[in-house]
Amino acid sequence: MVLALSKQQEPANDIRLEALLSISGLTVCFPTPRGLCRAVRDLDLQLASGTILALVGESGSGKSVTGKAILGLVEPPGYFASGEIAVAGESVLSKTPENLRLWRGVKAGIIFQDPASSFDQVFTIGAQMVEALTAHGVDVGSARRETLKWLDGVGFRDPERIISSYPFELSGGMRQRAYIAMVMSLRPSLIIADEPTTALDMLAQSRLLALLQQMRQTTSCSIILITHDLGLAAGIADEVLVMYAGQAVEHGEARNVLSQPAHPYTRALIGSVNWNNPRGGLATIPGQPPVLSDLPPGCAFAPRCSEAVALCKQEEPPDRLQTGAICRCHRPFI
Amino acid sequence: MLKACDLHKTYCQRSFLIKHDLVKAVDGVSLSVMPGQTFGLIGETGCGKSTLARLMVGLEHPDAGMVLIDESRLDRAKGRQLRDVRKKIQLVFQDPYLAMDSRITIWQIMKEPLDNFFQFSEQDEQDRVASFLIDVGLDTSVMKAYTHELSGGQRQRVALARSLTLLPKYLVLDEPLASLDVSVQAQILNLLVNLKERFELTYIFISHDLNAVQHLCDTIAVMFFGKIVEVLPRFELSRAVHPYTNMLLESLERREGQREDWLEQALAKGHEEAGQNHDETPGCSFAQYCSYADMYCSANIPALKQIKDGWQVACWKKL
Ligand SMILES: Nc1ncnc2c1ncn2[C@@H]1O[C@H](COP(=O)(O)OP(=O)(O)OP(=O)(O)O)[C@@H](O)[C@H]1O
Ligand SMILES: Nc1ncnc2c1ncn2[C@@H]1O[C@H](COP(=O)(O)OP(=O)(O)OP(=O)(O)O)[C@@H](O)[C@H]1O
Ligand code: SF4
Ligand code: SF4
Ligand SMILES: [Mg+2]
Ligand SMILES: [Mg+2]
Repeated sequence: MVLALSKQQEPANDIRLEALLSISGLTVCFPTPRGLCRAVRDLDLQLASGTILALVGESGSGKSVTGKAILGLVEPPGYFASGEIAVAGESVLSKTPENLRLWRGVKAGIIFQDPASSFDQVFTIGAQMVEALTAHGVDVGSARRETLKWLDGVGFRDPERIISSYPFELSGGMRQRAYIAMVMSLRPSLIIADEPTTALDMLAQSRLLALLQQMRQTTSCSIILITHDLGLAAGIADEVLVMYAGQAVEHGEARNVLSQPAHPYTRALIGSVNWNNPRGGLATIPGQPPVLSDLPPGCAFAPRCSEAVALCKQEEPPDRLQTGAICRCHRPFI
Repeated sequence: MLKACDLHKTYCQRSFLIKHDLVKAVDGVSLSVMPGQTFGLIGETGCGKSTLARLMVGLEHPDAGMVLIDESRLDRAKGRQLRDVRKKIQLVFQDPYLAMDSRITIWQIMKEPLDNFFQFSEQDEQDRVASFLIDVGLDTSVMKAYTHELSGGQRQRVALARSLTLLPKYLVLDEPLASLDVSVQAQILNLLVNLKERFELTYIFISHDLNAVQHLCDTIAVMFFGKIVEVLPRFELSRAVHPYTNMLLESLERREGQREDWLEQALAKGHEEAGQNHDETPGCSFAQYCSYADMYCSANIPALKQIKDGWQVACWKKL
């Protein structure tokens, strides 16, 4: 199934130099009856073209909200409280909803975390994939060929059957792969893949990773891979960003972050990847993540942190260390 | 004991070229799960695990075969008996989003099955719900939230907690750890082990995560294209007999080993692996990927045969 990806849109040279994605001071809030939930807080991120970034962190730490926000997607009553997002130099938040809809897909595509709810249940997979392409000006014949090609690309042996299936007729992993094919068929310059491997077995996972790499090489797109699987992050990512309670707590080259983590949370997270705990049960990070509508003062990780000192509970750590490394901590491991 | 006897489920799909596409999602599966056992079910995507799960709990009717729950037939149960059976077996869906009503709060979602099966006071219900939410690592404030306000992993844990509050004798868990980070995964696995010991629960644990399956399960069944090809005790896994089981194990080792090597291999190896193919083969459905296959294999379907106590294999060459 080797795919010959043609370079459909040659990225302009100046875009290669400047960041493809640039986020500054992003804060996303959801008003709830329980108080204001600040799902993403003061997030800064620069991502160059052709880079694969793994976004990792505990369940509920704000990864999906961040991913959707990059495409301007925040469900009301949620709102952007502050910050700027630019993709290829274009501001996302100043676009009109209509512009945003057209822009989405081609420039930036997202593979949602919920493979079940991503597709419309009343149309066939094929109809939806073809529609996605024709909406961006591809004629029906080529759209159909592209669709088959991409279904083949994500590892289906019988793309013909998939094309005429309704979403509910596919298994969890098949739906997930079909959706990935749909997003990729538009060849976006930025792909946000939110837990794309959760329903995939090991072989399908390795195939998907290979496909993402191939995609990056041929179209020099950037990929944000949201994942709970640190092994996957280690296998494919250039950079790793660790989120905790809505904030980026550590960000750097994958090798550095995963082998010499500076932040105590990153350390604890990596420490829980141990299937042969001598003490019987499996290692977990003690305590619970904070409730986002009721954050403690100071460092959000302090109640669970083995390194915490009095200062941690009073003062929020700055977003980077004196060395310039991005790590929100008063007492990093360096 | 939970028993599946020769279950069959075939889906008929209208296809774009061929008039009717028959998908044999579950093709003659028999298995028995003893009380207190933790039964792992693994196999590649689309091999029929979720379909089997739905058949086992009676959400779908098999075309042929039957399910026995403690000696009573699931398809024959009616009225009171049906309610008793339903109370005994629960399924945690692979897709929590589809299984939960988005118009009611988490508290209502969790209260509903409790009302159905028990006569607890409101206070007891609340205590029970709260304690299970805490056990799966959630804050009790989620009770007031709606499903769309939760993250993927939070939703998955609500679905799990909801089934756990019923403490069913048999619990079928379909990919319950899929989008959870390692620390929360570990917490849930520890919880499952703990609950099993305290309440003598029996699990059927469906997962593509071999590590988790090995950690939790004492018996592991391997499924390939609608058929169980091997059932073996966990401690024998390293000596697995079926060529397909070995292929799965290899793919795990590949991931555990050197990352970069593994990726290279994945890139190179890519596509010679098993995929979706529902062509009628008269013989062993693994034959086209199997390095031991011969003409006999391609013409005759191997049946699941016992080779040792608690160890069954469906393969002509390896018996
Ligand atoms: N529409 C919403 N209304 C209210 N709160 C929300 C909404 N969407 C998300 N949240 C909250 O924001 C936080 C972050 O959610 P998000 O979905 O980004 O988590 P995540 O990091 O993707 O977690 P997971 O790994 O479990 O998917 C969660 O605590 C969640 O409850
Ligand atoms: N309602 C349905 N109509 C038609 N075909 C179906 C239906 N449900 C499942 N199938 C088909 O049955 C096969 C098995 O699906 P199933 O969901 O049981 O797989 P699975 O092993 O759970 O896979 P995954 O690991 O991806 O969840 C698939 O080929 C699927 O397309
Ligand atoms: S700031 Fe203090 S509490 Fe927070 S992570 Fe660093 S050491 Fe731990
Ligand atoms: S029966 Fe033959 S083809 Fe099938 S797994 Fe065994 S050796 Fe391979
Ligand atoms: Mg998420
Ligand atoms: Mg499934």
